[in-house]
Amino acid sequence: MSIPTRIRPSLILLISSLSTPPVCLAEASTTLTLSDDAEPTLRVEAHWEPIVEGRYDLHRRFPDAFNYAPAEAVREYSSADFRVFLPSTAVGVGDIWQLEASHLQPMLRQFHTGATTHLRRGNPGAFACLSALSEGYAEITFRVHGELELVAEKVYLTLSQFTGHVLIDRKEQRVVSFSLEVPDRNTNADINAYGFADIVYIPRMDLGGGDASLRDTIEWSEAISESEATERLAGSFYRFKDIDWTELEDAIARAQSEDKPIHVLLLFGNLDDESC
Amino acid sequence: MAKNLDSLAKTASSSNVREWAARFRDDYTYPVDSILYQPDGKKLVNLPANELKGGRKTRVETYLEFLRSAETPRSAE
Repeated sequence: MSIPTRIRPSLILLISSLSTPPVCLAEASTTLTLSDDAEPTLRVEAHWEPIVEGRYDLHRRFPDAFNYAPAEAVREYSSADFRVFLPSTAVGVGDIWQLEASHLQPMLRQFHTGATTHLRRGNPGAFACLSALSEGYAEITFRVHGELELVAEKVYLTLSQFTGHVLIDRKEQRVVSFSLEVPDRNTNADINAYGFADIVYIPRMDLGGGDASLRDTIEWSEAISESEATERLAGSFYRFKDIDWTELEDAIARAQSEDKPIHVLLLFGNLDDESC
Repeated sequence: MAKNLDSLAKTASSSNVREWAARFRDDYTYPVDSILYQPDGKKLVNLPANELKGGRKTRVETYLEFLRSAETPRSAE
């Protein structure tokens, strides 16, 4: 399908938050390992707060459908449970690898027994990035998409994304800190109840265990920033992250100077997650 | 995000941005919209992304891929 040259938009604007992720591979590669010991070593707590805002407040019309208590407020995990996050080959800092999303479902089910990584629509999947490395520790940053089937075949809660960190003590081959959260961003979830849909904001939904502050005390030999890891992971889900997005003011000026049309995409939520 | 357009239309430091943000706010259809404007601000066509084929985000991705191909110079044309 072709578009007449005159009508081809020279610019694309997005009323949302986006940037272009660089993709490069580190020169040095490291094999990450975890003990296969099934003995529980990490106590992980779940928090799930109620929806506080929605476009149509659909959640208030079906209050019985939304149960915000985590299925398991506390669960003990072994180091072996976290092997689902490990890459199958040696990796360097900044490298991305794909995770078997369904293997993360047991963790998501600490929130709700109906948690699944099989989305009814949208972009499913899970990716991880080696975000920091030292002789003694390795940090993995990950992102997985998932939804909760709150009432069988009737009520669904699709989260914008779950993102988090796994901090590994390389000598002990065990996880010393773990986090998984729905980013605190208004909006960050889509709900579908009895055929009606809404986009909502959940202030807090997370899993956490171990000492998260330990990360800041480690002298990393190599690391990428949190935002860089986040962008690289987002780029693994969405090919449109490769587009060179233009800020509104620059786009207007360029369109007027080049006498070309402006194409505007407007979303109530964010383009680069599953909330809209 | 579209819900921030009203604030942008009222508080942006650039008068040009305020003017365009107000235009987007007035033309926007919930939840995902796609509009082509002339550089002078006249609306050329509304391409509602919600109506594109595929799943929610897949629709947007498909649409963006289409636009990317449209931006690629075609020597055969």
